[in-house]
Formats: sequence, structure tokens, C-alpha cells
Amino acid sequence: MTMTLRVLTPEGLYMKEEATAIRAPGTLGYLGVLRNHAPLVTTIQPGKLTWKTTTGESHGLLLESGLMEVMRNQVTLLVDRVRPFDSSKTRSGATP
Amino acid sequence: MASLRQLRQRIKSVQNSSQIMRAMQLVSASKLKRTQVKLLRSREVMQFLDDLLQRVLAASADLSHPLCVSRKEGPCALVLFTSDAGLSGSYNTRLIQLAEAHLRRDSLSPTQLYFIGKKGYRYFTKRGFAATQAYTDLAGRFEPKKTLPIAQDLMDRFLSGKLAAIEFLYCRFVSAAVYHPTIVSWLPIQFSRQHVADSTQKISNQRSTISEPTEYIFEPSPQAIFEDLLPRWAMAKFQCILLEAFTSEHSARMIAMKNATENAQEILKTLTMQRNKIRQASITKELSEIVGTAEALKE
Repeated sequence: MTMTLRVLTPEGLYMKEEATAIRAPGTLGYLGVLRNHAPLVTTIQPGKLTWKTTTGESHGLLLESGLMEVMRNQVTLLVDRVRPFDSSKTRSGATP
Repeated sequence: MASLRQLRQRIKSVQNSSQIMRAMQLVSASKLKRTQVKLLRSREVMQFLDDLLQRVLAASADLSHPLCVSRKEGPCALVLFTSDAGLSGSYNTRLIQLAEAHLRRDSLSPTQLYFIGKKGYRYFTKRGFAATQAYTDLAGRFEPKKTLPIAQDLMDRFLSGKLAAIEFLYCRFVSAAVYHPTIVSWLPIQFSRQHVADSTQKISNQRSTISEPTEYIFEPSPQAIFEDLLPRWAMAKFQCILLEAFTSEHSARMIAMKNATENAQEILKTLTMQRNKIRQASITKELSEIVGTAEALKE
């Protein structure tokens, strides 16, 4: 039961992956997307995108502002810039 | 007939230029590969934005944005994408021909000319056209740092009301051997309602077969999404067109250099043949002289 997650930047496709659950920084607040979500278009504010892969691992990316579209289990984000997010580093830094 | 020494010199010079042309062909081929990858990625982004725009338009009829306001008065702008360097076959000629035809057709309304690339700039300024702005330092390389300010500048001119419309004249890249000079309108962003209706119908047809809802949720609102979407669309369009132009340029140069190399090889072949004939003739002449002298000595 997966969805296809695509992250685009103006330069092109940044990554494409199968995911079971996605959490994205919408303008009105973080929102979660699961399979068979209703069609949705929203603006994205700078924040952290997290998703769970089919194997259950969770991954993260730091996004700048952009747009997100959810349609027929296709989740596509177009953002100005993407930075990789190192979860282990931040977690150890956040909890001293 | 030329002397043996002259022929040898010519062969040498043809060999040299063929070597240079072959090198240029290889350089263009590698540049082509690199820009083509960028172009395909950019087309993917454009596809996403186009689809999204269609959906937002289909959802709400009364959307407005300064980028899609069409004004009656004010000059139009034509942005001509040519190459900075020459030796690219008929690439620039075809673009300039189309530009001239376009300008003749629109000779009544004032058109400002913008140039990206030296070749078009030189051609038109020599013939008495005034260039409003020329960008001649891109050299077929796509660098967001240099290109995005150009798009921003053009967009600002449109938004401030100095320009009523902006059109691009560029080469659309089809395949490594095929490119089409095309004119597209950039600003104001135009979307025909007919097309919108068609596409929504298509989408709803597709959907009805797999029975999914057609209603979209827009967060925070269609208008807000529209406002966010349009500048992105315009920027992505500019970038995509620039990449189309650069990819066509490199492919045109590659083909031109390939033809030149082949021609050089052909010339080389005939010259070598001639050289061999002359050499053989002189050998035969010497031999017959020796034989003749030997015969004469015998008597």
C-alpha cells in the first residue's frame, strides 16, 4: 500500500521514492498524507518533509517554499531548494 | 595541374582543419549531452506546472494575477535566442529569418528587441534595429546565477507596465538532428479556456473510468495557489526555453561540424589521389628516361 513521492526543484527531479506515509510542511500547518488521500493542492512553507519507506525506515528532507500536489497516490512537490536532512545529527544535537 | 609540393601543402592544411573540426564536433557532442539532460529535467518540471495550472484553472473561474493581465497599449517585446559563437550551420540563419518575417508582419505595432546571444544582436544592430537589451555572455552554458536575473528583469518590465507582452523566438529541440525555430508568447500568461475545458473533460473522463473524485482541495485557497504558481510557472518556462535553445545550438553545431569533417575527408581523398597520380607520373617519366638513355647508349 504505497504512494509515489516525487520531489522536484527548478533544476529537475530531486528524488522519487515509494512511501507509505508522508508529512509535509503546508502553509496552514504540517499535514500528513496516507494512501488514497483526497486530491489536494497546497502551498509549502519552509520546513521538514518526512516520509516512511516501504521497509519502515523514515527519511527527511529540508524544503524551501513551494507547492505540493496529491493526486491518485502520486505526491509531487515542487520547491525552490532542497537540502538533505541528517536525522541522527539533529536528534543528538536537539537532546543534549 | 598543381605541383607536387603545392598538393602536399594543401593536404596538410585540410588535415589540420579536419582535426580541429573533429575536436569541435566532440566538444559539442558532450555539451549537447549535458544540456539535454538538463532540458529533459526542466521539461519534467514544466509538465508538472502545466498540469497543475490546468487543474487550478478548472477549479475556479475568476482567478486573477498581474502576470496574466493583457494590456492594449505599450510596446511588445521580442526576445531572440541565438548563439554567441558561430560555426553552427544554419542555426542562427533560420532564427534570424523567422525574426525578420515576424517583425515585417508586426511592423505597425512598436516592438522592442531583446537579444540573448551575440549573433542575433550583431545582425539586427548592423541593420539599424535598436536593441533594448542584449545579453551576450552566456556562451551556451546554462547558469542559474546569470539567467534568472534576465527572466526577473523581463518580468519586472512587464509588471511595471513598460511592456504589454513578451514573446520568445527560439529553437525548439526535437532530436539531435531536428530543431524548429518557434515563437511563443510568455507574458501575459495565456490560457485558453477552451483548452482548459478540454483537459478537464479528459481528466474527468479518465477519472470516471477509474471512478475517482474530480474535486480538489485547495489549501489555503485557489487564488493563493494561483498567485504562488504563476511566477514559478513563468520562471520555469523561461528556463525551459533557454535550455531548448542551448540544446538546439549544441546539436546544430555538432551536426555542422560532423558534415565539415566528412567533407574534409572527401577533399582529402581526392587530393591524395591527385598527389599519387602526379608522383606516379613523375616516376614513370624518370624510368622511361633512364630506359631511353640505356637504349641510346647500347647503340
